[in-house]
Amino acid sequence: MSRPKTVRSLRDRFAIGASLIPPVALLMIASRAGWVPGSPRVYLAAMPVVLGLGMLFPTLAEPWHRRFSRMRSWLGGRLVFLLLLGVYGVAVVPLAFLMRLFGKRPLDVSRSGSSWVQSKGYGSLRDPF
Amino acid sequence: MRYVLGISGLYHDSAAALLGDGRILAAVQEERLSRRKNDARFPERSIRSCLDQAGITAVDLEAVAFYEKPILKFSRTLEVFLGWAPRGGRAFARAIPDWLGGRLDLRGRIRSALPGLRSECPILFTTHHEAHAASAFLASPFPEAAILTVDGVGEWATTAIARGIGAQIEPLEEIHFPHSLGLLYSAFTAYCGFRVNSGEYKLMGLAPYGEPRWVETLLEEVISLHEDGSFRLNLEYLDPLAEDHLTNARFHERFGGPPRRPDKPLEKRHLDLARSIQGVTERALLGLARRAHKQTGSAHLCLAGGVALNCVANGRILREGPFQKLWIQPAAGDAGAALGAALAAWHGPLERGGLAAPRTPTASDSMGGGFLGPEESPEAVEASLKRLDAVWERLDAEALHERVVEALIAGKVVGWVQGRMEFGPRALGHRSILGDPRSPDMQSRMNLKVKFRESFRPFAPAVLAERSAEFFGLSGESPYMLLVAPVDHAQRIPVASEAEGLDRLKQVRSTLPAVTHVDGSARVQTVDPERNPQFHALLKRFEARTGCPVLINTSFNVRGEPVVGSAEDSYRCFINSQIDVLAVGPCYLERERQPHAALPRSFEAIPD
Amino acid sequence: MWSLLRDFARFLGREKKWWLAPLILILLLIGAVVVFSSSSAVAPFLYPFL
Repeated sequence: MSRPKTVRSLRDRFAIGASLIPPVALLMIASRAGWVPGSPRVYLAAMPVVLGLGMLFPTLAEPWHRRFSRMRSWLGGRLVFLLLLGVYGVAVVPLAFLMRLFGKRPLDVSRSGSSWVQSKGYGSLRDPF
Repeated sequence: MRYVLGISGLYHDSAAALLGDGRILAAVQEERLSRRKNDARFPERSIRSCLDQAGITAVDLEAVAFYEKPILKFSRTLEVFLGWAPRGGRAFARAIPDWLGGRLDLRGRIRSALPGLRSECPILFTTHHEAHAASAFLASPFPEAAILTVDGVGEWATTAIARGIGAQIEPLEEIHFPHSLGLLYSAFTAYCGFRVNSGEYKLMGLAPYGEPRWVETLLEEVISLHEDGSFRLNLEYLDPLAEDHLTNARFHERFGGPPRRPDKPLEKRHLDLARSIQGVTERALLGLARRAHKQTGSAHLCLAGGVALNCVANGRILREGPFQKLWIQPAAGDAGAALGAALAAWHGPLERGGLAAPRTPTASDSMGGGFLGPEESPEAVEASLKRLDAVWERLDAEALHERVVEALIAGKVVGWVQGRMEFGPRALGHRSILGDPRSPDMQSRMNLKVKFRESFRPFAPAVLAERSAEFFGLSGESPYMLLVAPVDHAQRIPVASEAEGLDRLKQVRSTLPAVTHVDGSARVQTVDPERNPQFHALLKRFEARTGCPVLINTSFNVRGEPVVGSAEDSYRCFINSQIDVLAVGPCYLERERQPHAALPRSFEAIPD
Repeated sequence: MWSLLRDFARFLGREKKWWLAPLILILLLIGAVVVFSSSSAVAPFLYPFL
């Protein structure tokens, strides 16, 4: 059985090639610190080369690209999580305390009295609010 | 023809619905096509299916309506966090990415999903409860009615009363988050070890096995019911921001332990809790129904929202409530809100951006029996079966019915896939598993061997509408299986001694043991020849042979699987369960003659 | 994106909830960066930096 030939768009090829750049960039940083041989310039020059190779032979670089993408999205998710945790600490919590200071309570948590609220109408269908 | 598309989703149960000149042409829930239960992704498959069923493309649409106001809901989410801070940081960091990733810019999302959509075609937004109210009233047979919608939460409203007249809906009163019956019921669902947004049925099915010994505690400490029908939750016991369960440590201490893990056995405590929360919910709903009656003075009530799927409570509203007639949207959950959004846009007044079409209610209702999904031609069915190497006989309707009735009488379990797929959570005789209700061991057998689910889960009877009064104490019809009614006394068999808890399951209580719940009730589906001709004909034939006009009707799926959609889904499910016979379109298949012992399943199993 | 911002502004004006504005702006900004960096055509360019 012959494998079906995958047709890749230029954009996909570029993405696959580009995923080879970060390891080279890491090597460049390492060479600056003197941990690996060679000058940073060589690594800099190697970047377009690996990009080109990745674009020319996408099938070879694909497994790496897949793993790299997974790692990147995992890392991205963690970063956004931490970022939002930070926003909660510096924006939401202070705003919440300020509101309480001014006697504004977004949630009606009292336990007595009717909880019926007069309807304000449905609003315009054109507006998403 | 003028077409309006309605869309719901992104939280749970995504769906799409299509109107043509105001008639409901198609409505499909995403899970049936994607094979992922309660699928919450943007309903691209359902949209395509609706357009295909009508033979149109996005170019032909005159309006698209979404069932919520995303900006209002987003701001409510932020305000809830502001009210909850400094707690809730983790929940915030988990919830916000979904919003930023595409729940906010719905216009953009809808346009990119419908590339042919004309730029002048408006994208409209109803509120969550407006969509529910529209799905309940505008599809109902009533020219005017009180409308009660109850669910977890939409934008702010969790409960709403409105009045429907002609094509217009006038909102009257609301109860706002965090005071929510749906949320409370879901909290107990999670606490008893079931999955929120789908395990609520199980809690309701479990309730009759328990004692209502927590009712007073609940009413004193967790929810207060007021004279005017409104209610308030005590937030000291609940944690609406917790992700896996909605209850907190104080709740767990008060109700005798930590939440049940799904793999741990059910204890008496859980049965009692189920019974108690069910009782409180029924009482609250009766109060709301009385309020709706008082505010509108109408003799008719329309119900929708997830809580309206609580058919035990619905039965009590009909029997004990102040209304003469009750109509419940069969897709009462969020899937039905896709239909509601489309209807609200079609009939909505011009100044609000609607299409201002008049409405003429029909004597039954405008749901087409609930059969609004796709249907495969006999040729397509045979092509699918051929691809799967199945062995089948093609029969005419007469012979097919005869063979199926033979099998049922012989105690066999039959998979029955005919006509258009149902819209809404219940299988109504188009994607059903059928069995003989007179057999005492049928409930356990179908639960454990066929559907691989808990033995306590009850089954529903489908009964010829013209003979339902002989068997069930039901005034009027129940074509959508949304009402629980007592089994008639003439059919009851006294039980010698009461067993305890789940042991009560084994006792025979009526001439229809497989569909009689332990409390002597049944979730009835009345089958009439107008809405459901083929299923009616099958029941007629079963009645002619046995004298019994009732069949067990349960949805065609196994635990964790959405109800089957296509012939292929049904064949896979047939092979992988212990269903004896499959009747799909004109094709008749017997288990012993199939070459497979098992087939790869086509769905993503969702754990309970 | 601009229509979304305009909707937010009209919403805050109607409901008189201007105190929500800074929070919404911060979150929309984060959202824009995340969406831009993961799904746009420039994503590959950002690989070495993000």
